[in-house]
Amino acid sequence: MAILPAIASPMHGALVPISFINLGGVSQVTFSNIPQAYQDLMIVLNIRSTQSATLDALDIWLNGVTGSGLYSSTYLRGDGSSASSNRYSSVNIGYAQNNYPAASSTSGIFGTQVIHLLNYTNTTTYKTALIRSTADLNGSGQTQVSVDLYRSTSAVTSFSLGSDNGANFASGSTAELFGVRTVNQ
Amino acid sequence: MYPIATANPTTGGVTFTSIPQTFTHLQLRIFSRSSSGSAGQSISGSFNSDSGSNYAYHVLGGDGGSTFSSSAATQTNVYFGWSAGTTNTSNAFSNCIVDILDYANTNKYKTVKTLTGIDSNGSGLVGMWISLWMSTAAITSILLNPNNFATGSTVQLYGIKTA
Repeated sequence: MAILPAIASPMHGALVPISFINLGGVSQVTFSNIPQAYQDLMIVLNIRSTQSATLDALDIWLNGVTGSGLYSSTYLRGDGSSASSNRYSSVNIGYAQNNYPAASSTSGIFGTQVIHLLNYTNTTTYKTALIRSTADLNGSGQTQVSVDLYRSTSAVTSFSLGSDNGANFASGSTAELFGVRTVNQ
Repeated sequence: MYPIATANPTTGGVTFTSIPQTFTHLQLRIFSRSSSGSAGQSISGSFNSDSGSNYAYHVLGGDGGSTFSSSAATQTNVYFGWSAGTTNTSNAFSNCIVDILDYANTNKYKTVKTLTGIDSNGSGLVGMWISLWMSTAAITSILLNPNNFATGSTVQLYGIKTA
């Protein structure tokens, strides 16, 4: 997916829009050639799956890497009646069970997910993503915060996301990539 | 949201002073590892150099196996979430997104909301903190310290304007 030219300016403030993608009809998407000009990245998702279930789970991966067990995650979840926490270690993809509404949930319901990826251009630290996700299904649902670790010091030049079940995103699903600039950027 | 200041600490804490009073809210974006604290070291600090027992907090978290919640009043520090520490996987850092609402208001106590997490491939902490500073003073300076920042840590301060 092409990245739109984005030049930071006072008009933008700190949050600079980089790319917007309509996800309907695809099961995964990649923001590639991410500019290395910002402090952080923020990805905002409004998504629904075509999978025949009430919920689907989101996978994320960086720089096209989906092997070698370089990802791990920890999450905290509330489902409306109880809270839980779980983790995944040395897995091949960023998977924290950040769930979003799927085809068996009431039509018109989309989930929101906001992903913060700090210090993404740094080449001496591993990369940590903090994710806030919600899926309220009107009577059931989940709200969650999770943290994903990618054990690589490489700068992040591409960011991919997709259905853990290989299902397409429903029409109306969107993904937005922002750069968060700091002073002198 | 507008950038105000940036810090790349290699030791000690970070203090932002002379914070402009022209925004409605503040946001801190913290990428943190402590060079002295252990895993899950909390990032403590103060507003306006106030070290009195004027702070309180609530925390809701998960450690990958169980959930927990705790709170305390009459604290001498404000808390901004968790930092990676010396016993976390090398090169792993925490993320903290901290919102300080209505920081320049002189009629309200100040509330701080933090989304925070650190994963260390086999252990981790993730959750939300809320801290209260029982002062009506406008916030003009902020100190943060996770028991000494390690090299690679970054702290960004932003101002958020309203219409």
